[in-house]
Amino acid sequence: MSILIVDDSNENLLLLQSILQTGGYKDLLTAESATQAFKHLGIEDSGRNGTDVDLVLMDIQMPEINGIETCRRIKEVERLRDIPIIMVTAVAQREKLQLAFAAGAMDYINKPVNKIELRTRVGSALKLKQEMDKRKAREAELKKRTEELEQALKEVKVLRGFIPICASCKKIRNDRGYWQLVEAYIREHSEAEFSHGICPDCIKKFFPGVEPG
Amino acid sequence: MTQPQSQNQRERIVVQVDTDLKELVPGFLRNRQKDLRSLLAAVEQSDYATIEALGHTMKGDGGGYGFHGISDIGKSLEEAAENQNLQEVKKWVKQLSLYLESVEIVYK
Repeated sequence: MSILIVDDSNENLLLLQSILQTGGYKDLLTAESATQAFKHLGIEDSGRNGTDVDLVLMDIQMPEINGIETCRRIKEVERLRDIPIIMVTAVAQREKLQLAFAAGAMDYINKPVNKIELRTRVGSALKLKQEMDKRKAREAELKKRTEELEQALKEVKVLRGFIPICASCKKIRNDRGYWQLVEAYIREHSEAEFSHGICPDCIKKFFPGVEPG
Repeated sequence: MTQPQSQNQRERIVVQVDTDLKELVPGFLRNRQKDLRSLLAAVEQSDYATIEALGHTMKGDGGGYGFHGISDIGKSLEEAAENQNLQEVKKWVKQLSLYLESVEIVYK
């Protein structure tokens, strides 16, 4: 699973990368600014051509666009909305956490970063993301099946109710008021097909010299 | 908070650093030497914005590598620059210089 680390300090990027790599997380992307992060995520085209990212670690204090605003903009994009974002914050910035959570962050890690804490929280967030992905896939599958069923139901032809039939010739009066041969009517109103033959009684009646097979 | 040392106090400052970071530490310390040179230049020009930015970065980065002294110095530099207190800035720049001269790393 892929993790994007966003921090304007190259030293911090290297540190977080190193801790995560030694913790077994190999698929790591880094960005030194919000703009770089947006490029990775493909935010300009609503995430359609961005790299698949499963978790973002975001520094709060960054020049130009800070971590809270970056978080908010990522969460505005529907395709990126479910990516968990963990804020990385100095103790002195704790008052900003409320804003970060309001912007959509799911968790935070204090600086200086403790490697065990970092790996544990990253592990939990990725597990959660995996579960969310599975749930979304199940929901998509269910939606698809429901649509298929609805479509199939539309195509099913049902014969029901009172059908006016001639007591003598057995023609049926159709919805348009015309008398129709029974097989034509059934064919129109169902998926049934007819194969034609002659019954023994009719052979006797119409072909008296022929023995029924 | 790290207290300034006098020039006679050149005791080794032993810092325990995670072995996982062994490859990164030389680069980290080289960058602090660069910071020191930038700080000295900024002091010459009373460039408080640069001092504040460098102090802020040091404050944020030091502790993660195990160099809490650097974080403390960074914090003090940031505050001194905010207050435009050149004497304080000079004091903490000197303290950074001493720290970098005296630091000894033990990997654990």
